[in-house]
Amino acid sequence: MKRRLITVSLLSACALLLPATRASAQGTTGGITGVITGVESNQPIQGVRVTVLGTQLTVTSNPQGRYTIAGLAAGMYRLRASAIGYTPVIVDSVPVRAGQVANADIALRHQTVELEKVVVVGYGTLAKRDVTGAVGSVAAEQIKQIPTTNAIEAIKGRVAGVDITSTGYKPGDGVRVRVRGQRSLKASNDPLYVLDGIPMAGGIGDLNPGDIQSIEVLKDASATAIYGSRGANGVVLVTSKKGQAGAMRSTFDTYYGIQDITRRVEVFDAQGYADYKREAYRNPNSVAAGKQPIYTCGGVAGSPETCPEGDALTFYTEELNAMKNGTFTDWQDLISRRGSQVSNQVSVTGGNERNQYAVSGNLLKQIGVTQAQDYDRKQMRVNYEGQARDRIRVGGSVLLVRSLQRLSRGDGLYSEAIADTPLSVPYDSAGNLVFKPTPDAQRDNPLADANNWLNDNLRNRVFGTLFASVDLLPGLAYRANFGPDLTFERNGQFIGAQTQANQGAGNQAEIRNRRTFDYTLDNLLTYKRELGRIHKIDATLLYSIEKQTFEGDSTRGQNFVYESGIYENLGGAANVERIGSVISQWALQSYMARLNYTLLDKYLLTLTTRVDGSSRLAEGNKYATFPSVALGYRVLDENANQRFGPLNSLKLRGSYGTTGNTSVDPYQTQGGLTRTAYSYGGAPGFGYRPGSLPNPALSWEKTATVDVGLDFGLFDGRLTGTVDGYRANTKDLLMDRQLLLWTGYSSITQNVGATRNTGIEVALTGITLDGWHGIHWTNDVTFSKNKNEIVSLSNGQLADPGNGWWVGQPINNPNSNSDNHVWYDYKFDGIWQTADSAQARSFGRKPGEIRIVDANGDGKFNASDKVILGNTYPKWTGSFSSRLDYRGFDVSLQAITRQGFMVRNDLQRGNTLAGRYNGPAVNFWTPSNPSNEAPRPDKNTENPVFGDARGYEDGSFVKIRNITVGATIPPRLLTRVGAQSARIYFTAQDPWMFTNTSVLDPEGQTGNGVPIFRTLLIGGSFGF
Amino acid sequence: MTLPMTRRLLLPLAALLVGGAAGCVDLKETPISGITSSFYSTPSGFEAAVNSMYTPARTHWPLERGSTMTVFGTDEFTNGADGSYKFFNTYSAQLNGDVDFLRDTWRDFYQGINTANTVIDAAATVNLPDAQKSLRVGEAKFLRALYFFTLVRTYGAIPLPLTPTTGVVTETTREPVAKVYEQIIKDCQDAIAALPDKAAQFGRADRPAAQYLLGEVYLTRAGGDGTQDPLPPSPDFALAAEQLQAVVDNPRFGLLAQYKDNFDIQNEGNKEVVWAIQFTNDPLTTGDGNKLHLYFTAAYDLEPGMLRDIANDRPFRRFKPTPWQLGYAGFPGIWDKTKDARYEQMYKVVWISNNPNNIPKDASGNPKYNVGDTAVYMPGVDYTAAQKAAVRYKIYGPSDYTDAMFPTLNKYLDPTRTSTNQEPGQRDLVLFRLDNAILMLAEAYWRDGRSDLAVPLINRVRERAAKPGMTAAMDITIADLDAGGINFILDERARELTGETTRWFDLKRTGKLIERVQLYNAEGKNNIKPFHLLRPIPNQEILLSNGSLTQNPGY
Repeated sequence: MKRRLITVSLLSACALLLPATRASAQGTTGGITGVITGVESNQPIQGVRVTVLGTQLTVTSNPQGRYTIAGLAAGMYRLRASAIGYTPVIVDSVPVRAGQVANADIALRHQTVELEKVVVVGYGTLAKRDVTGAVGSVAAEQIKQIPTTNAIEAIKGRVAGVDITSTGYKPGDGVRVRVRGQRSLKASNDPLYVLDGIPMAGGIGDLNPGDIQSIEVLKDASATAIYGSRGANGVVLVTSKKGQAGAMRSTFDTYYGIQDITRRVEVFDAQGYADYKREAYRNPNSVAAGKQPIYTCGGVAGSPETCPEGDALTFYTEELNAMKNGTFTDWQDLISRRGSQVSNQVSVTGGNERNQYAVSGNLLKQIGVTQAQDYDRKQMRVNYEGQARDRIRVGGSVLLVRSLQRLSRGDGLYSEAIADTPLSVPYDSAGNLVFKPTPDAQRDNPLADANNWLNDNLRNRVFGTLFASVDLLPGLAYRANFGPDLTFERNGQFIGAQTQANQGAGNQAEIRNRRTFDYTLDNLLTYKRELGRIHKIDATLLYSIEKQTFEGDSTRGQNFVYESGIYENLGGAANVERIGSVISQWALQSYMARLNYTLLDKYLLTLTTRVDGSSRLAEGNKYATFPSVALGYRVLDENANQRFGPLNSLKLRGSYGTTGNTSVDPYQTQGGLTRTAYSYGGAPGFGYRPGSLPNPALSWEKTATVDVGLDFGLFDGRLTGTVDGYRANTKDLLMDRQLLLWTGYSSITQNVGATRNTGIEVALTGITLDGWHGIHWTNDVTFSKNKNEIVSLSNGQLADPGNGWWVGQPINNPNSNSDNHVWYDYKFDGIWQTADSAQARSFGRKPGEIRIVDANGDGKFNASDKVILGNTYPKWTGSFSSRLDYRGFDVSLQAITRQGFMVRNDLQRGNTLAGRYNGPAVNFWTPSNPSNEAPRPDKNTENPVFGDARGYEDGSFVKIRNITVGATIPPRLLTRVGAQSARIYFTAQDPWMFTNTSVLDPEGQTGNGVPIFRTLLIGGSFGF
Repeated sequence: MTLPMTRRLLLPLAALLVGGAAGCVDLKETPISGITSSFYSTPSGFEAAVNSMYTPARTHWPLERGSTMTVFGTDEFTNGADGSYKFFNTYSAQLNGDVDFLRDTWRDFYQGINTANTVIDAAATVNLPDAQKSLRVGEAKFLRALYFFTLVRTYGAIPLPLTPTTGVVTETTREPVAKVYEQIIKDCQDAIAALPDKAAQFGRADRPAAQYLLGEVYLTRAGGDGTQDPLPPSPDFALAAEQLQAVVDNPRFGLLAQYKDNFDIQNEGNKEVVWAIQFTNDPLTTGDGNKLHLYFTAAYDLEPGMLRDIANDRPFRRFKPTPWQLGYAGFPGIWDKTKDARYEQMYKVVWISNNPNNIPKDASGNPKYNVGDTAVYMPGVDYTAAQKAAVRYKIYGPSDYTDAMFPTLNKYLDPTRTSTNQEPGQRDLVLFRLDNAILMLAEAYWRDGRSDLAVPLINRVRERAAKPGMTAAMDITIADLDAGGINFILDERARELTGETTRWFDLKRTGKLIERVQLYNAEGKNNIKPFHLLRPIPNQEILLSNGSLTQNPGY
C-alpha cells in the first residue's frame, strides 16, 4: 500500500511539472537559426540553451548544434547561449525580418573559472556555482599525477575532510577512506562508491586511474541524502572518460618506476644481539634457585672474555660459529629487493555528432619491494554513447579486469626477518638454502617462506553500465540506468613444509571462492526549466532498486604428498580440514525526489527526500525516509561583475539532512543457529546450537548533519576558497549489544547509542602567478579538523571497557588492525632503578623491570591501572600542493600531514627481550646502565610484564607525497613522428617523510610488516 | 510538441514507473545457508541440538583454560617459564573478573545449558518416539548437571536458567548454592533413570556416567564451601558411596593391567574409561582438539642434540611439577619410587638425540654421541660434577630444573599429530575414569566411618601401580588410612591422578586448598587467601546486570 501511494505521488508530482502546451505564433513573423560550436574543438555542441532575452522563448540546440527560433516579430533581438561547462555568450543585435530566418552562429568557450566548474552531484550534474552542498572535486589531471594502483589513493590530500590512509605496503594493498570521521561502531564506515551512476560494491580498486575523468566526494547531508541509506559515510562519485565527437584520437600513456624501501627496522646487529642475549642469560631471574649464574666461572661474575663457558651455555652452535667466522646476516636486507611498477595504457576516443566511443586497455605490474610479492592487473574498458533517434540516446560501457595479487607470507616475512638471529647464515657453504638457521623451533629462514608459502588473490570483474534516455518535452527527460557488476574472487593459499608454520613437516592448502553479483536499476525523470530570469528549476525523480547476491565456498586440506600441486590439487589432501559454502542476499528499494530551485540567479534552494527500503532490516522497519534541505545565497556574483573590495564572489550555503546506514550483514533480524562439531567414538556428531538471538526490531542507523559553508573568490578569482563547518549526530547506532552471558547468547545487534562528529574544513586555491613572464603558478591548501566522540552507549553506560568504548572518547575498533583505535593500556613510567628496589618490591617488581603508573594509587599494579592513553584520530590533517608551468615545462609538488595522533609501536610491544629472538635495538637496562627505555633482558620472561605499556608514540608526520617535473614537447617537433602531443615527466612518489615516530609508517605500518617505499618513475603521454 | 505526442510518451513512461514499482524487489529475507530456531522442532534439528550440547565440554577441560583452572595453584603444579595465566598459580591481583578464561568458562557452559534447555523444551513437540526423546532428555540432563556442577564449584551462587532464553534479559539473580545442588542432583537422578547402561555410541552420556557424576556431586556438596577441615558428618557421603559403588561394581569396567596402559593413545575407549570427551584425527569433527599435550612439556628442543619433533611434542612449558610432587628442595616426593611404578610411567625423563647438527663435541672434535643416543637425562637425583662429566649426555638433577626444563608429564603427549607444531591433538580426554571412581568411593566410605570398606579399594589402585614384586608392599592398612586421613587420600589421588584436571576442586572440597598451596606451592603461597576458594564472577556479566549481580568477596 505504501509503495503504491509513493508511485501515485511520483506521477502526480511529474504531472505538476509538465508545462502547458503552447501554440506556435502565426503571421508575419521571422526567425533566427544558427549552429553552436565549441571554440576549442570546433565541433557542434548539443543541448545549448538559447534564450531570446526579454522574452520567454528558449530553445535547445540539436545534435548538429543547430538551434532554430521561430515566431519572432520583426526587430532587433539579443540572444543568450548557455550550456553547462561553457561560458555563456550574449549575442547583441540580431535583426529579424518578417518571413525570413536570420543566421547567428555562436561559438562557446569552455569555462575555466573555478567557481564555474561543473560538478557531478549524483543523478546529474550542476554548475559548481549552483551547488548548495559540500562537494569536493578532483580532476583527471590531478588523479593521473599520482602513480598508484588504487585510484582512490590519488585523491589523498586533495579534498578537505576526506582522510585516506594506507593499510599496508604489500602490492595491491588497500586504503581506508573516512569522510568527515567515522560514526558507526559496528556498521561499515566506508563511503559509497558510484561509477557513472552505478554503485560499485567494494571500492574502486579495480578501476584504472587513467580512465577517470573526475572524482567527486559528497560530504554533507544535502549532497548525500539523495543516496539515502547509503550516504551516511559520504559518497565518492567517479566519472569515467567518455568519447568526444571529432576525429579519432588515440593516446599512449606509459610509465616505469623503481621502488625502494625508505625506512627499515633497526634491529640489534651482530654485536648488539650477542650482548643482549648474554644479558638475558646473565639476568639473575634466569637462574634456578641455588644455581650459579652464567658467566660466573669460578664463582666470580665475569665477562664473556673471562668466562667463555658462559657463551657456550648461551648460544647455539650456529651462533658461536657465526661469531667465530664473522658471518652475520641482515635478514631484512635478504628479503627486500628493489621493486618496480610499470603501467602501459592505450586509449582511443572519437565519434561523430551522433555516436561517441572510448576504448582503453591498461596493463599494470608491480614487483614488490619484498621477495615473492607482486601485483598484476590487466584491464579493458569500452564506452559507447549514441543518438538512436532525435530524442533518444543510448549508451553503455563494459569494464573487464583481471588482477592477481601474490603475497606469499605477507607481512609475516618481516616478522621472521626481524626475529631471526643475525648470528646465522641463510645459505650453507655449498650455496644451498638453510631452512633452519638455528635449531630454534619457532624460527626459520624467511627465504624459505618466500619460496614455499603462497597466498594468491585472483580477481575477475565485469562491470557494465547501460542507459537509455529520452527527451520527452523541452526540459523533461527520462533516463533508465542498468548496472550489472560481477566479481569472481579466488584466494589460494598453500603453506609448504619448509615454512615457519610447519617447521619442516606437513603442509596445508586452501581455496576460497567468492562470487558477487550486484545490479542496480534506476528510473530517472529530470526536468529543467528557466522561467525568465527569475525562476530556475531543476527537478529529479528516481525509482531505484539494487540487489546483491554473494556466494562463497572454501575447501581446506592438509598433508599433500607432493607440494608442486600447491593449492590446485585439493583432492590430494590426506585430510580435509574444512569445507564450506554460503549464500547471502540483500536488496534495497528506493524512491528519491530532488528539487533545485534558483531565484533571481541569487537564491538557491535544494530539497531532497529519499525513501529507502532495505531487506536487511526487520519487517515493519524496512523503510525509512531521509529528507534534506539546503539553502544558498549568492551574495556576490562574479558573472554579474559584483564586487566588494577585493571580494568578487561569495556564496553562503547551509544544509541540514539525515542519512542512514544499513551496512549490517543480512539475516541479522532472524537469529540463527551456530554449527558445532562433536564425535562419538569417531562417528561424526554435527550439531546446531542457538547462535544468535533474533532482533525483530532492527532498524536504521541515522545521521543528521548540519553544514554551514561559504565559497568565495578574491582578486578576480585569483584566490578562491571554500570553508565548511559541520556537526553530524548519529543515533540508533547499529551495535552489538552484549547480553548477559548466562542467557547462552553473547550479543544481539540493536539500535543503541549515539556518536557525534564535529569539524571544520578549509580549501584554498591561489593563482599566485597568472602569466607573469609566461609563468603560471597555482597553490592549493586544505585543512580539516574533525572531532569524533561517542555520545551515549547502551543502558546509559558511560564506559564499556569490554568493547573499548567510552562516552566522550572517539569510536574504537579494537578488533580491527587497520581501523581506528582508542588506546587503553598501562602508562609506561620507565624502568625500576636499583635505588628504588624497596618501592619496586612493594609492587612485586624488581629493578630492571618495566614500571607503570599506578593510576588509581592503590599501591598495586592491576587492571584498574589501565588508562586511556590516546587515540589514532588526528587532531587535524592538511595538504599543500603547488604547480608551476612555464613554456611547456611544469613542476608540481604535493605534501600531506596528519597531526596529533597516537600510534602503538607494535615492534616495541613485540620486543620480548628474552634472549631468544632479535628485535628492535633498544637501550636496555642493566645494573651498570640505568636506562629508562627498555627492561633488562630476561631469558625466562616470554613477555616482559607490562611490556604492552611500551611503544605508544605521537604519530604526527609530514609526507612529501609527490614531486613531478614534466616537459611538453612542442607540436612542431612531433609532426614528423605523426604525434599530436607528447609530454615526458619524472615523478618521485613518497620521497620523504618527516616524523618523530620510530614505526615504519605512522599511517599504515606500525608493526613489523612490509615497509614504506618510495617510487621514482619516468613516464610519457603521447597523443596521436 | 503536440498533445497526442505528449500522451504517447507519457503512457509508456507511466507504465515504466508503475511497472518498475510493481515489479519491485521483494525485501523479505529468506536465509538459505543459515537456519533458524524452527529447525529444532524437526527430528533432525532436535538431534542437532543434542549433538551441540556436548561441544562446551571440548572447549574447557582439554584446552589451556580448563587445565589452568584445575592444575595451577595447587600442590601438584606451579608455573613454568611461559604463558600468560601464571596468576592462576600465584593468586596475584591479576586474577580478577576481567580474566577471559573466567568469562569464557561462564559463557560456554551457560551456552551448553541453554542448548540443553532447548533440547528439553523441544522434546515436548518434536515428532520422535517417546523412548528416543526420553533418552535424549536424559543426555541433556546429564550435561546440564555437569555444567551447573562445574559452574557452582567455580563461582558459588549462580543464575539457574532451566528454560531456553527467548528474549533480551537485563537482570538476574544468583541462586543459592544449595538450590543449585538440588537441581543438579535432580537432573542426575533423572538422567540415571532415563539413560541405558551403555550408550549406543561411545562418548554419549549413559547411566554409569550419570552415577559417577552424582557420586562426585554428593561428595562435593558434603565438602561445603572449602573452608572446613575436618569436615562435619553428612548423609551425602553415604549417598555418594551408593552411586560410586554402582560404577565400581559395573561389570563393564575394570582396571587395566598397568597404570600406563591408560595413556596409550592406541588404547582409547578401554574398560577403565567411564566417560570421556571425544576427539578424532578428522579435522572436520575434532574442533580445536585436545591440546593438553602442549602445556606440561619442557623445552627439550633447546637442549644440545635435540630439535623439536612430533614424538617429543611441542613444548609450551606452562605447568611445572612442584618440588613437593617430584621430591627435591627438602621434599621427599609423593611416590615411593622403590615400589611405586607410577612416576616412571607418567613422567618422561629421557630425551633421545634427534639432531645431528647440535650434538656437543668432545675434546678431539668428535660428536659425543649419535642421533638415537640419549641426549638429556633427568635421573631424579643430583649428580656430582664428576658424575656429570662421566656421561656423554646432559644431566638435569632436580636442582638443575628450571622453569623451562623439568620432567614432562607424558599422559597427554600426542605422537599421532601430523606435524611438529600442530596444536589439535586427537586424544580423548577421560573425564571420568574407574581408578578415580574407586578413590572417591574409598574417600566416601572413609568419611562415612567405613575405613574397612575404604582400604581394599585404595589397595586395589595401589596394587595395580606396584613395581614387579612389590604388590604386597604397596598395600596399606586401616591404621595407615586412619592415621593419614584426608591427607593420605589426597596424596594418593595425586599419585594416581597428577595433572588430570581435578586437583583444584579436590583440594577445595576437602578443605585443603589453602593449606596445601601454602605448604607446597612456593609461587602461590604468599598470595592465596580464603576468598580464592571462589573464582570471580566475570566483570562483564556484572556490568551488564544492572547491579543485580554482585562480585564474590575479595575481588
